[in-house]
Formats: sequence, structure tokens, C-alpha cells
Amino acid sequence: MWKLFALLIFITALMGCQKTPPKNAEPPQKITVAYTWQPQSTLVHIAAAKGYFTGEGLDAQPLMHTYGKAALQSVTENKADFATVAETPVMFNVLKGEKIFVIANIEASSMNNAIVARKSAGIAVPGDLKGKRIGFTPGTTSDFFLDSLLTANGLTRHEIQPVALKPEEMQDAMMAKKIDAASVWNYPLTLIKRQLGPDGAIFYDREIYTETFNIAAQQDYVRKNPETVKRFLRALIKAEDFVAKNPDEAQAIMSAATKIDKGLIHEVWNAFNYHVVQDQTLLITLEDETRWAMKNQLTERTDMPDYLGYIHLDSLRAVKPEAIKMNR
Amino acid sequence: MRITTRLRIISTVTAAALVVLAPVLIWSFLEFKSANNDDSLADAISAGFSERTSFSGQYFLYREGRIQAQWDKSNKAIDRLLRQAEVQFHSEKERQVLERLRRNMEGGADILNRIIKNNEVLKTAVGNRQVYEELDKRLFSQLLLKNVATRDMTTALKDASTRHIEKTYRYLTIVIGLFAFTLALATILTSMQIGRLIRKRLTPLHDGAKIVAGGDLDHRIKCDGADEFAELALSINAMTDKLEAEISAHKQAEEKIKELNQNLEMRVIERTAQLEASGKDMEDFNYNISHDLRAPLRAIDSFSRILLEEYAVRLDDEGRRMLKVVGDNARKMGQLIDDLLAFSRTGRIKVERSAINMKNLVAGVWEELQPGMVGRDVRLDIRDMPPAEGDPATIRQVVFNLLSNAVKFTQQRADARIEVGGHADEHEAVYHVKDNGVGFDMQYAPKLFGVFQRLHGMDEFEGTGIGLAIVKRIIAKHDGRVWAEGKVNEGATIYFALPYGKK
Repeated sequence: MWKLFALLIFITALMGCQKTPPKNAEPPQKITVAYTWQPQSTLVHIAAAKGYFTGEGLDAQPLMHTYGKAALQSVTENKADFATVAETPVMFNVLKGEKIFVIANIEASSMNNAIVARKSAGIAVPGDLKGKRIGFTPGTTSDFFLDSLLTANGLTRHEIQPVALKPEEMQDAMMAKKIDAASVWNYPLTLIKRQLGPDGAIFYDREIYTETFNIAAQQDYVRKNPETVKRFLRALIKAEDFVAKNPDEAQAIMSAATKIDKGLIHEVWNAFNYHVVQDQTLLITLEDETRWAMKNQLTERTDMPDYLGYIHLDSLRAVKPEAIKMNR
Repeated sequence: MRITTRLRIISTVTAAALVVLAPVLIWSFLEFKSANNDDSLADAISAGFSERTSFSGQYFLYREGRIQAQWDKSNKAIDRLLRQAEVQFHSEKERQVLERLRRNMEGGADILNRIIKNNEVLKTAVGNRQVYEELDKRLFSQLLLKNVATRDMTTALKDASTRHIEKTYRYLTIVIGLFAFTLALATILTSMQIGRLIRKRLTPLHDGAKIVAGGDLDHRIKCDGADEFAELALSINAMTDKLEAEISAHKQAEEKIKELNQNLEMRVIERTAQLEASGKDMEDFNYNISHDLRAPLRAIDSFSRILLEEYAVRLDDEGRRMLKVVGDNARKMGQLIDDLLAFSRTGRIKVERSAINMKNLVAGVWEELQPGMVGRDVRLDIRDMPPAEGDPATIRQVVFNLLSNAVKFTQQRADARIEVGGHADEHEAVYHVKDNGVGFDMQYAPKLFGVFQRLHGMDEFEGTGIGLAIVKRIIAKHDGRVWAEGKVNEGATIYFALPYGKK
């Protein structure tokens, strides 16, 4: 009797040791991902560098941009399947009537946006911005943050001289003294501050704005490729785990992928929270910014869109249910 | 291997497994308790933040100083809970959540302070009032975000603690399961081992012992191995050897005893026959000699009487006296011979048993004795007596002899009293004849039943001393017993016992 019992245990153990049969080798699915060199896109860089996309059967083709607004444009123009983008371009695109979905939030920060100014231009405190030339990138978080910081200091846009610039133009404009201050994000923010040296003044306000960086895609694409979306999200979740456990290695990967100095990456690293989630932050911020856009007549729409129709929860819920922190 | 060694190994292994599992079990219980404590704390933190969120909503609506005070108090309470949690929670993930919660709480507090400050500005703002109103909204939006984030974090903390409870519960279940499994396994293994031993070892022993018990002392149990069962088998075999030897010796002894008994029986029969023959010879001799002596004695008596009657004138007084002495002694000798003849006759009688009513028998005998008691006042007390089994004629002789003795030995008593009684048990009936006569000294009791034995002088009491000898012989013929008790001048009691169920 006991011999039979022992034999059963042995057979069970043997069965447990058997290798699982390999999955059917399918050719990797090609996707195009429009993302930025910015730190907000770290999870995509890590997923690509660590082979998580490949691991999920995806051949991710990168389409690089200097900022999210341009990346989202690649998606709306059908040049890319996925884009990394902050909530402000998402908001403007929704207001324009683009049928897009945010499938996940991959980063949040209250310390990524700031106004960097030249002290020599007479700017020592935020209140000194009054009447000054301030560079900003329209339709981006730079635009909304500038407005928020001015508001926080009792100023309106009419009391400054706004100068519309692309983010990559900011540093040169500051050095050429074409502008006195710039509403910008990293890495340009830290690079300008470094270049200004003692002449630089930087104004953060973590209590007035929280930036989010998201994965956006065409609604039609998401509906037609649900499995691809899930695989894409799975790869990002693996990257999230890797970044949480190996921050130093993640920074080295980012440096290698973006050719950006590791010191710069390390300097700004703690300003960002990398989590693949869907929470109320995006929704509230989108509505805040919509009210701002409508008030300042930056859009022709006068009614608040239902952003729940632009936030896609199903794919992330299928992959990581606990990451859904809204409409639970 | 010995059974005790096997069982010891099993118990040691089981005990060792349980000893190893016991700390794990205790640890699991402690972990489970700790997880429950964490869960309670996570609940408290969550409740604290919910209350705080409620205060921020109230402030947004009413802007009252009371709400601000309660908000501050709530912040302090949450701070205490977070401090406790920082000590209590150990997992890295939970600690990260706590750190983020603390940052969020501080960030939220900063925002609310700023809202309060902006509220003060708004009270006096005139020109750019709209900007401050916008700022108020933006700040509240951010506070809302903080609150949402806080809710997510407290939920995460609660989820983590719930998972921890589930994990520890699973672990506890596994450990308890292992504990139970180990015990069950040990029990099953021990039972199997014992069962196997019984089948393999005890059954042949049992069967072998049964064969031996059935009488086959030549059977020997096979005893392989070196365990207790082998030892038991050896012991049973040794016992069988000894038993066989003892039974053999016993049989031999029995045979010898049987042979001896047979010899003895033969000898007893032989001797008894010899004894009976010699007894009979003796009795015949006694009878014949008594009978033969009677004729010359009668002649002596007759001739001495004729001499005394017809030749008395020729004899002087001394001659007549001597002739009278010759006659008296011849008669006395004749009496002695008669008694001897009677005694001898009792040896020849055949006992024919039947039931005897002893009370009637005693009364009859007493009646018969009456002529000899003229002028005397003798009182007889006949008590209840069981019936006797015996030869009526000879038993009547016994009662006659005993009563006449009692009458004789009470003749000097003015108030002579005689008591006859008896009792019985399942084996025999015992009767007694008691008088208040001269009695006797108990040291002479053994002589009492001898032939011609007298304890008193002829001049005191008549008789030849044959009466009790005859009683003894008759009672002996009935396989009974007779004995006497007495005391000088206080009377005597003669007992005789007659057995039941004799043929």
C-alpha cells in the first residue's frame, strides 16, 4: 500500500518536472509606437530595450518625437498605432473630435513642469513674471502649467508676453534672450537651468498641477486589435516592474536608448512615478484643462465632453485588474 | 528488526516531524495574528483618510473655521496611525505605500493651507478676483486628485493586508494540513506495520498455538527472524517441550499410581477378607466357648444348689457359706457369658435399614423399662428428634442399653432426670441421651465403650460392662459414630450419629 502511495508521489513529481510544450511560433506582430525622448516615456524605452514587446509577440517599431503632442499626431494621422502623450494634447484632440482612446496612464508627476527664468531679466520670484516674455508650447502641458502658475501668483495671461515655441526651441530662445522665461518640462527644463547657472531661477508649483503621461491609440485600432493592446500593456507592466526593482539599470537603459547623459537622467528621475494605471487623476485633469481651454477660448466647444468615453479600461482590466482604480 | 525498534523509529520520526512543525505552526499563528492587526490598522488609516476627505469637501462648500480645526485634528490622528503603521508593517511594498501616503497627506495639507490662504485673499480681492477664484478651483482640483490618490493608496494598503491575511491563512492551512497529514501518515504507517506484522508473524503464531492447544504437542511453530514474535515462538516451543515432558512424566506416574492402587485394593480386599475371617473366627470362637461354658456352669450352679439344699445338715456354717459363694460366682460367670454371647451376637447381625420414628421408639423402650423403676421417680424428657435410618431392632437395642444405663446411674438421685433428643443435617442424624447421674471422669472416656469396662464398682452399680460395647458395635455396623461427654457427679451424655443414604 505505502509503496503504491510513494509511486504515485514520484509520478506526480515527475509530471511536475516536465517542460511545458513551446507555444506555436507565430511571426511577431508589427506595431508602430510613437513616443518621446522624454523621461515620461521611460516605460516604453525599457519595454523595447528589455525585449518585453518581442516577448509578447510584438515587433514594436519606434517613431520618435520630441514631445507627446507630435507623437499623438502620428496616431491621429495613422502613422503610428500607439503614442505616449500627456493629457493636454489628448484633451485638445478630443475637443477637436478625434476618436482616440487612452488605454493607460504610464507616468504622473507634479514636479516635471516648471518655469525657468533668467534672474538678469528681473525675475526673482513668480510675481516678477508680470510683463515678461515667456516661452511656451501651445496645446501642451507647458501651456496649461504656465496658466496655472500665473493664476497661483495672481496673474493672468494678459499680464505677460506669451511666446509660442516648440520645446526644442526653448533653450536657444532663452540663451538668445528672445524670451525671459520658459514654461517647459524635462529634459529641456534642467538643461536650461544648468546652462543659466546662477542666473537661472526655477519656479515649481507641485500643488497646482499634476501632469500625466498616457498611452493613446485610435479607438478603431483598439477595438479591432484587442489582443495586441493587451500584449502591448503586458510589456509595459513588465517594464513597470523592472523599473521599480532596478532603478539604476533603468536609468542606464534610458541613457543608452536616448543618448542623454546619465547624470541628467538621474537628476530628474525622482520627479516621476512610473505606474501603469487608469485612475481619476487623468479624468479630473482632463476636465480641469477643458474648462481652462473653453474659458480661454482655445477650443470652439463650449460643452464638457464625456471623457469616460475616451478612457478605455477593458484591456488593462483584462491584463492587470488591480491597475483599474476608477469605475470599479 | 525488532518490533519495539520499528515502533520506536516510527514514533521518533513522527515526534521529530511534529517538533519541526510545531514552531512553524506557532509562527504561522503569529503571522496570521500580525496580518489581522495590519488589516485593522489599514482599515483605521482608510477611515481616517475618508474622514479627512469629507472635511476637505465640507470646507469647499462652507469655508468654516470649525472644519479647518477638525481637518487639523484628523491630520494628527492619521499621522499617529501612519507612525504606528511604519513600525508595524514590514513588507517593502507596504512601506512604499505608507511613504507615498505620508507624502500625499503632507501635500494635501499644503494645498488646503494654500486654499485657506487664498480664501483670505479672496475676501479682500477686487480687481483680479477672477484669478483667485480660478486658483481656488485649481487648488481644489489638485486636492481632489490627492484625495483620489490617497483613496487608491489606502485601498492598496488594505488589499495588501487582505492578501497578507489570505496568504498567512493559506500558509496556516497548509501547516495544519501538514500537521494532520503527518499524524495521519504516522497512524496509517503504524497501523499498516502492525497489520502486516499480525498477518505475517502473529497469524502463524496463533495457528501454531491453537494446534498445540488442540493437543498436538509434537507441533512446533516456525520462528524466522529475530523479533519479539520469533522470541514468542521460541518460548511457545520451549513451553510445548516442557509440557510434553511433564505430561509424559505425569502419565507414567499416573500409571504407577494406578498399578499401586490396584495392588493396594487387592491387598485391602485380601486383608479385609482375612480380617473378616479372623473376626468371624473370633466371634464363632467366642460364641461357641460361651455356649460351651454355659453347660458346666449350669452343672456347677445346679450341683451347688442341690448340695446346699440336700446336704446342708452335713455342712457347717463355713461350708454352707463357701458353697453359696461357689453358686453366686457360677451365676455371675453365667451372666458374663450371656453378655459375651449377646455381644458376639451383635457382630453377626445383618443391618437392614428402614426409617425409624425415634420418638416412638424411645417411648416404647421407656415403657419397657418401667417395671425396673418401681419406687423411683425418674423423669424422661423426650425432645424433638429427626427420624433415623437404620435397623429398627438393633437401634432399639442401642436406645434400650443407653436408657437403662441412664436409669441405673441416676438411682442415687432423688430427682433423676433423663433427656433424649436429636438433630440432623444433610449427612447424618445425631441423637443424645443425657442424665444427671453420677457421671464420669473424661480422662476415662476412651475406655467407656470397651468390652467389660467399668468405671464404677460392682457393689455400687450392677452390670457386666458390656452395654456400651454393644452400642458401639451396633452403631459401627450402621457406619455411624458414638461418643460420650460427662463430669463426675454431674451426669453423662452419650451421643450417637447415624448417617443418611447408606444401604
